Amino acid sequence: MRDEERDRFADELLDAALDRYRAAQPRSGLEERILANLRENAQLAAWFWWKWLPVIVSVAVITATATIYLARRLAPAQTALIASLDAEPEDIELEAIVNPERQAALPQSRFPDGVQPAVSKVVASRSAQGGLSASTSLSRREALLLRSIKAIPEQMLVAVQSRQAIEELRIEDLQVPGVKVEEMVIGAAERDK
Amino acid sequence: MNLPGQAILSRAIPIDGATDDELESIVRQHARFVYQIAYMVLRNHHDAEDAAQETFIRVMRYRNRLSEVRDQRAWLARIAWRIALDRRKPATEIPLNEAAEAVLKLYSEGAEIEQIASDKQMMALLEQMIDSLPGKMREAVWLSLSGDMSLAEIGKVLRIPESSVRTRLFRARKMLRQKLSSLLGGKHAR
Repeated sequence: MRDEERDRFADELLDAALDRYRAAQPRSGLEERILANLRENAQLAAWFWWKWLPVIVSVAVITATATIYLARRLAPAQTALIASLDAEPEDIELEAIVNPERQAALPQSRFPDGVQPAVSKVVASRSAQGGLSASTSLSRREALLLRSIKAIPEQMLVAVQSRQAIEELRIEDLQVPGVKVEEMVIGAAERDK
Repeated sequence: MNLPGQAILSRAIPIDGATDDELESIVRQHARFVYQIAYMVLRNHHDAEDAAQETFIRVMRYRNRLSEVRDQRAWLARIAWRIALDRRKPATEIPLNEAAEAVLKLYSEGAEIEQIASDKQMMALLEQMIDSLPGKMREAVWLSLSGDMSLAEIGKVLRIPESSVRTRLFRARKMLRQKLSSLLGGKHAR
């Protein structure tokens, strides 16, 4: 078979084979089978819906009831919480924080030797200047803030203070050992210049 | 016994009757076309019929919006196409040289082109050659062989311009011819 003959044969064979390849026909009654299948699916969908409808409704009703019940039960508790937040902090707590005498009476073992938290210092100094006393009327937020400060662990306060001390260091306080620079060797050409 | 066509779905699905009639009409009009698209991809009658069934089940879900579909044929073709591609399994490979040898044997025995073309070995050879085409060309060939689709319809299914479909088909055919010629020539060189 020559090349031209082979190419022509391949061309004709390809055309004929593609025609055969496309000639796929389904078994008879395809439409009826599809329609019957659609009918089954529709019935199945309807059956499924009617079977599960009562369950879906029941779940919806239970969920709604539970939501309403919980909402009503939580509402008084939330009101009480808000009321407690609105109330003035107890005087005895404020007194203990702002009164220097009471401050001194605090157990010294809370802080390491010679270390006193910065916040406590500020409170003490302001008290000494008469700027803050037990009779000072604090707002609710201020009182809550003081309470929070009291609750901070002393280790954290010490750490904050140490960091503050480092930041306050001046550049003059730094001592850097002298640096000796070795004499540099310059090339002959460079030296002649 | 033939069931009255218009009544099958109307009895089964208690919804708007006009929509059911329309759906049934679509099934009767396009079932074979949908089947052929699926068959071209799946190359199996059973799988192709399953894919056609699934195509119309999807259509049924949208039956209330059928009037919004502009080109039902292209729309159906795309659904069937996607379903068939999802279900497609890798084709079983056959030794190409053996198939080519069988084809040449028929030729040397004086068989007509039509007879050779309808031979089982030739069909397997062609299927494998189409499978070996680059994906874009293969898809264009599959659709061009499905239910006499026009270039415009193939373009809608593949979402490419008609000119691109033409180019892909031209190149695909050229590659198939070269491949077949080469297989036959390799044997002839003996």
